[in-house]
Amino acid sequence: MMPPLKPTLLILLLVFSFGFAYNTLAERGIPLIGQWDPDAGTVHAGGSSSVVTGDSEISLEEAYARWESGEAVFIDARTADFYNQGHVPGAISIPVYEYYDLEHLLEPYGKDHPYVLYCGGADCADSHRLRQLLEVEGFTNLSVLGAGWPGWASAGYPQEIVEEGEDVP
Amino acid sequence: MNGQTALEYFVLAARLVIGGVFVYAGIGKILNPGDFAALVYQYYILPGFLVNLTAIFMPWLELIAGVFLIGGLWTRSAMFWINVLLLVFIAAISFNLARGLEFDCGCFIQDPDAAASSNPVVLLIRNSAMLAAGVLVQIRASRLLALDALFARTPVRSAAGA
Repeated sequence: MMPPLKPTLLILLLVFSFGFAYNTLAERGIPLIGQWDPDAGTVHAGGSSSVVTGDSEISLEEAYARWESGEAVFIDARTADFYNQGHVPGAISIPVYEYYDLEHLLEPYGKDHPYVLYCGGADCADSHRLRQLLEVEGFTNLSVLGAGWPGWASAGYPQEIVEEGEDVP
Repeated sequence: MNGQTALEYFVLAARLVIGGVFVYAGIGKILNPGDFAALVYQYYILPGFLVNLTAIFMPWLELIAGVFLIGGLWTRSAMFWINVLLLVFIAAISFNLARGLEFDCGCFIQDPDAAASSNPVVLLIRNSAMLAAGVLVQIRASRLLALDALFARTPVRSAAGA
């Protein structure tokens, strides 16, 4: 029933050799340890194919300060349903997979205006996807609230809800 | 065809099918390590430092053990590792089914439609069927169309009888 020991271990040796070599050489390889701690920001494997960059993330306190002072425009990258159920007051709804004319949409503010993007929290990379799209369009001042909507809501910060029949801004 | 021969053919078929499934599954994960790591993470079972390591090495175990199984080289050892993987998958899926967590199995990540519709109960049945056949292969390790037969010290039964 038990397999012969030597070939069984040799298979493991092959696995580790090929796995390590491929991961080191392939462009899509990932670091041996990723960022999977939700308290430290958006989780991601890392590596060149990852849309998430830790550098672009700001803390809840920082986001709140920018909201309170009115210096930054907030963008909600979640679907309209989630947005309607509650969002950062004044935030613009841009579900990442639905809007494509970003430049036109944000024309009133301009490309160098500070923006804070958020979505469904540390497990959600949509705000980073949107940040990448906006960067391609030439926007220069983009930050992501890693804690996302769940963080904002549980911190007790102000919320805005869209009642049925109301127009989504 | 007597019972003995039928069993030999069943073991051969199990080797080829299970080996093929694991080669296919392994390649998809190897080509998308970042996506696969995210799928491993969303099982919410492993500690963070093991997520990437699992995503880097596990697909290679699927691929290499699958190739050896198809070729019939080191059949028992290759089948052993795949059975271990199947046990791990069954345990992980059962655990998340029991706590009511909705998750994407991430079994064949090159096929997102299949992932979205993957029902954990169906996955458990499929994996259990493969495990049952896999245990049989590990016990029997038929040398029918197997490279192991080339390296065997003792003559193969069917060849001796010819």
